[in-house]
Amino acid sequence: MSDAARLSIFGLVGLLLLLLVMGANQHLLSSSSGSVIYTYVTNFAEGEIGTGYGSPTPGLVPFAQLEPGDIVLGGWPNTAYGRYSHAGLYLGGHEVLEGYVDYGLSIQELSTYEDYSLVCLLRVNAPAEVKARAVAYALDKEKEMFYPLAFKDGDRLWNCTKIIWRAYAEQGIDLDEINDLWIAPESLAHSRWVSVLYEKGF
Amino acid sequence: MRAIFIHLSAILAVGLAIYFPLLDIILAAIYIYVIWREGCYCRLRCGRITMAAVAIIWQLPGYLLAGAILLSVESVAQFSYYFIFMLELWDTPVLPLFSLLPDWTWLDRPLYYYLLFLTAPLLSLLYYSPEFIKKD
Repeated sequence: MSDAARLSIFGLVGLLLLLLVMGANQHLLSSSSGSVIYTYVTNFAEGEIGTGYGSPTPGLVPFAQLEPGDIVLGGWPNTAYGRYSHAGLYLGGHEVLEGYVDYGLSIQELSTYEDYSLVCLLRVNAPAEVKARAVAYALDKEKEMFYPLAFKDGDRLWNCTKIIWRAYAEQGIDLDEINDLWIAPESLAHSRWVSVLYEKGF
Repeated sequence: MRAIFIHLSAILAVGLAIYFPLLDIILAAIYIYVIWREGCYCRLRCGRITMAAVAIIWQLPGYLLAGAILLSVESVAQFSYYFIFMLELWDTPVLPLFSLLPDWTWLDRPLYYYLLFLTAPLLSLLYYSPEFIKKD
């Protein structure tokens, strides 16, 4: 491989892949798409760059309403990619499966969501056995790798929403209404398959 | 500058290649080869000291981010919460290879988490490794 080829190969491949990905997802570039990219770009222009942060705002959240397979969303006011920054799949027993850089896909305490200034509990309207299979699928991926920009395809890299989306997609339930590149936590709340049990911070 | 440019363009290329599963692994393997060849290229043109300096400088963001996290500098500002995300993004060119490793954990943290901190020194070593080969 020549000196010039080494210098340019990844730039050229990156450009080609960018065109391919954009070409395959043109429907997400319009303002009406509600896509996570459009949301992020809009919010980034206003100075919001990531997951957001804030001071813990403890408050009683009625977690008792949850049943295994339901979804928990948490967020801060300045999240760049939507109203919520994080999502977890409720496993039962006050535990959720969620994704973090430092723990990978991991089981965490449900109570960590109490501190978020925005909280949403979502009921997935599916039979209990379907939800149990979704939970089992997600648990099978425990400890696998977290990558915040993991695309929906592939099963080696995950983020907090992809694992929930995939766990249900494997059961024939597509929680992504707009066929987005990445799934923002907020978009889970817009799925026809879910209903809102509780919201905090609105 | 060459190595930094290659690394930045590899972040874009490998990051997008994740959209096409397996292509990301192929590009990550090519990246390893390219960096090693860049080390060979540098060895022909630079002295040992210069080469060692380049090997460290092109991975400086990785060293700084890893150091900031390990030294808990990240707790001084809310923004520094993003350091671990930035470190993972900086390591994107080799992450597909990490994803092939077994999902072992130590102290509750997965193996890849520890590798995020080792990536910068390992890539520096890879770049410098041609220096260990005897010159003709």
